[in-house]
Amino acid sequence: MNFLVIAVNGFREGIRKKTLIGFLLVAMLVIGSSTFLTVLSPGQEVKMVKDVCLAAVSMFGMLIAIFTSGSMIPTEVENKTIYTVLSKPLRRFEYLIGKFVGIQFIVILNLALMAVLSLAILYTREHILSTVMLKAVFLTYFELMIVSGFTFAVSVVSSSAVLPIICGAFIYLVGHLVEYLKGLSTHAAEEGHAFLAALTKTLYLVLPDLNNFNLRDQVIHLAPNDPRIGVTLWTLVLYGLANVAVALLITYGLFRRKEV
Amino acid sequence: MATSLYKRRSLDHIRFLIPLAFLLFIVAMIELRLDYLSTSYTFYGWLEARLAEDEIIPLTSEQEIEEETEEHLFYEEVHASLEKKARLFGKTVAELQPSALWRLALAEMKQPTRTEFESLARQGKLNLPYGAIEWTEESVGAHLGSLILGFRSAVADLLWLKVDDYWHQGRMEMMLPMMYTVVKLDPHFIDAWAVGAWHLAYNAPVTVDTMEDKRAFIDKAIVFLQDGIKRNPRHWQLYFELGFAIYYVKLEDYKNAAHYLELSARYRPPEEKKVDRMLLHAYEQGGEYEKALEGWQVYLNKIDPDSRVAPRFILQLQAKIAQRQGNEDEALRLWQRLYDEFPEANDTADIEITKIKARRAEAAGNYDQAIALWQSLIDKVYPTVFDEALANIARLNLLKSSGETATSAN
Repeated sequence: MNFLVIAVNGFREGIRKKTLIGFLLVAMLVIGSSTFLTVLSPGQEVKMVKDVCLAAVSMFGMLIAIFTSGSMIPTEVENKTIYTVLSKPLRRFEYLIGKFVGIQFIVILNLALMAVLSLAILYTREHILSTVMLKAVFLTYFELMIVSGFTFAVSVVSSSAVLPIICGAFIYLVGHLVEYLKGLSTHAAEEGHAFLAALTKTLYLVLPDLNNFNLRDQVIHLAPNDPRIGVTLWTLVLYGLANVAVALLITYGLFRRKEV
Repeated sequence: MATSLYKRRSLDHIRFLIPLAFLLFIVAMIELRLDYLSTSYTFYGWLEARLAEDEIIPLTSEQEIEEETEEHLFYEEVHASLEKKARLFGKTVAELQPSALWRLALAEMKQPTRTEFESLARQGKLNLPYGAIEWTEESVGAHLGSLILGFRSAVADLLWLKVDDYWHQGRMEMMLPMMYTVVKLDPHFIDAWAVGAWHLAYNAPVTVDTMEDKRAFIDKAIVFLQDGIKRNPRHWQLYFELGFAIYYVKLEDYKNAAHYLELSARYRPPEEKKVDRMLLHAYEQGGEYEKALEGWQVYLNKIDPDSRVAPRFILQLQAKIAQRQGNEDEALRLWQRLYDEFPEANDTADIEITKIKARRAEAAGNYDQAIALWQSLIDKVYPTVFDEALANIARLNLLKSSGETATSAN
């Protein structure tokens, strides 16, 4: 259970970071201001609040996930605490898992705070607890977990936090563009470029496709009995976990021989 | 020594790469599954839109489905296949609940139907609703910023605020294109469809002079709402807007109004009883008194037993039916009852009672009394019968003068 000690320690260090507190405060401000936005558009209050809250949770959640994942290991290297920890009888895999779990604690805490504020605002409008909002935030977490996992992988080979943070933003952006590879693959096949078609199709299948998580938009607006949501939601959870497993394995592959 | 180290490293790499390949394989399998679900959902949405289209009354002959389009042929083929499966449930495809239709869509999206569907969609030959904007939207570039980060709904909201802004500035030419973008970005934004159609039908016509131009805007509102219906075929509100706001109020086309209000009543939530009431009014205005009467009786017995308006309309319809059947005594009695029991219906009852009395006076040759009765309707300022009363007075005066001429000649 060494990884839990590392996780708790990582969590304690992470939540003290002023950047994250700043992001959280701005996110809370945006979510809170969604109530004023509704004044501009009477009749669509609930929809506006839901959309703004969910967009804020996703956007600031993404920033928090990238900054936390990108800076966790480089900060340890910079402070030289990593040398002390790794000199102990602790396997590197445990160390990585511990750090990653610590990052997830931070992301979950921040998402939970944003979700609670969003739910409170929605409650004042609808007078019911918006379970669809909870579902949407739940889905957002798995998207952020993937971004966080791959950013974490980059962070173990970087000595400063800047590179992983930039890469994290890039991963988020590319993750939302992966879907276009599918069209490219079909187009290449139609043009008779079999190799290019196979390559793009493989990339489409193995790269994390974050557009899948756009279902969250539908989760909050479609009828609760919409047939697609139930089955796709759990497939997406599985997809998130599988991608994180890939990210952690890559992280381990990069970290196991790193000289620290 | 070096070879041994090389071998060990190679083995180490293999030990790392095998689980990685295995995990990537799992990721690819899940992605394939998600891809299948996503395509199935697009197919399901398309199917629902096509089924809704079957219910929509074409506005113009151009809008009528062309029999020979690839989309139509594909639909016919798919529909026939689904119909067979739906019969196992003892229903038609149109009668299936969303969950059953979804299961059929999943089953249908196996090869080769899926390949054909994807191919037609990619070529832009299918009119796809939500779920595949990238396949159909010709101006994807304009929406890229929102598409890539998955914030389509939030961007649609912000644009909607801008629509509202333009409306208050009176800049209709800026507002209308943006309104179309909003619903492209978020096809489930029901209020955008409803308010957008209202702008098109009620506000945009004010900006043009000729009747043709005004009518063109109303037609745009109808097509706009029909598009909204195809994308949200199980939402009551858009049928209601089309039936009531456009056909009933704006165009006074009660037949079409009743058609869309019937569809709205099918999907309405229990608290939206106004849909049923408006439907029954549409029947009445369209002259379908028996249907309206039966509807009000069902409304009173099953939907809203505490309704204060239902007994009044039941009585009113009974009077109208009696009148149409030529039973004037019964009609007069019912109108009088309506007048006595329901003060809010006094005007309607008073008009009808006066009309019957005027007709009777005329039949008895008492033109002066008939003219006085018609004149009383004008004096009481009932705008709905103003023209009718004036016409009747003029006609009766002619009859009276011709009668007097005949008498003096004799």
